[in-house]
Amino acid sequence: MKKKNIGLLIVVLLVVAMVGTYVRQQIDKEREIETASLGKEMEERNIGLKNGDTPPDFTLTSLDGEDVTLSSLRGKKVVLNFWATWCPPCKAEMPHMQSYYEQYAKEDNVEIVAVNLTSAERDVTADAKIDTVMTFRDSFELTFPIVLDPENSVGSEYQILTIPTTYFVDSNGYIQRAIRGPMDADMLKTYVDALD
Amino acid sequence: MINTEWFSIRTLTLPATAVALLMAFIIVWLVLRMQFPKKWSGVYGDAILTFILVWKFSVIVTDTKTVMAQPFALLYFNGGTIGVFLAVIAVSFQLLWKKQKIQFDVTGASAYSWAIILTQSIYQWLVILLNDNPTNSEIITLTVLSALTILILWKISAINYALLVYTSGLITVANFQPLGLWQPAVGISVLLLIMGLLLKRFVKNFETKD
Repeated sequence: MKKKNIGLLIVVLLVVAMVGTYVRQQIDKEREIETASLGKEMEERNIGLKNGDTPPDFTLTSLDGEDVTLSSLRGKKVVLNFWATWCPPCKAEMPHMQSYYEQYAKEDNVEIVAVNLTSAERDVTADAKIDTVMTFRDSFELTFPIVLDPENSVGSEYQILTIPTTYFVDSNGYIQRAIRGPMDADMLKTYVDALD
Repeated sequence: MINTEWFSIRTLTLPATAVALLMAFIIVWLVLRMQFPKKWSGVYGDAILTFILVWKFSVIVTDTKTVMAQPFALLYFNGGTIGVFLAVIAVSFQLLWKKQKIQFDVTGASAYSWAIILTQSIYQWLVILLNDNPTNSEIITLTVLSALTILILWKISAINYALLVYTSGLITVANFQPLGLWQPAVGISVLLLIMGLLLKRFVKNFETKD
């Protein structure tokens, strides 16, 4: 009988701790809303890589020869993925991105922009690098735009150290989340659903 | 509850629900360790190991194509929702398979109902704390499950009633949550209830044999 009380006591303490934490969270949240509404009028776009920032703008050329400008995609949600052909986790997530793109891109009002870190591709000449990316795209039958970053200008601006790295940009053009590491189609779907 | 947060440890990104479940496993193991003889926290630990392994590797079943094409996909992905169900079924089979060896007695049955109820409750509490969902659904879940958990663990010792009351409570609460009645947590709870009812029969068998 005595033993039963120990376990039960712990459970009661857990409940108290949870409820306490929850109440404190709610109070903090209310305060945050108050201060946020105060500062709202002086709102300005803040260029940066943190959540809530506007990502640095760029124009890059896609494999098909079209120019893609990030800021011109405003109004759509953007999945901004950085990758290279030799990176195993990038290879693992590409089929998932493709199946998500086919199934949901229209419905969810999403564009996937896959920035290939072309300067990091392991071929000698620039043409050979582009060939490698082409072959990769064809073997995975990718249909979303793949843009090339031959000088690593965008890659360095976005401080890409690990690939794949994916930025989720909402339809107003604000970063809402950055994910390092590969995603499957389910994860992609939940991340996009969480975007405004 | 809808998952709205993710946690990143280097290149590993886990949804808050997975983090909540892992934390719940650890807390429940500790509670069992203190509340019951060592044997039962051991049984729980084995069950958790099976759960995690099956959940992780069930991607072989849920996405055979990718894994065959690129075996290293195994490293990065898991079985998702289907994987969670497969994992619970695997744990149930493991417990049934080993029932002679484990010898579920009255203490064991009680440990089972503590483990099942606490794992679900602590998971729900943590999911609420870690995510951002509609406030009324959070408050209802928090209060009902807290009251139910304490009441059941304190007053109801029969495993079948304990689990039946708990799962009904969870189903009621689920109706107020954004994902509604048809969410994995409800399905899992029903599976665990069925498993508990089966176990109850074995306990009876042991008693009559003696």
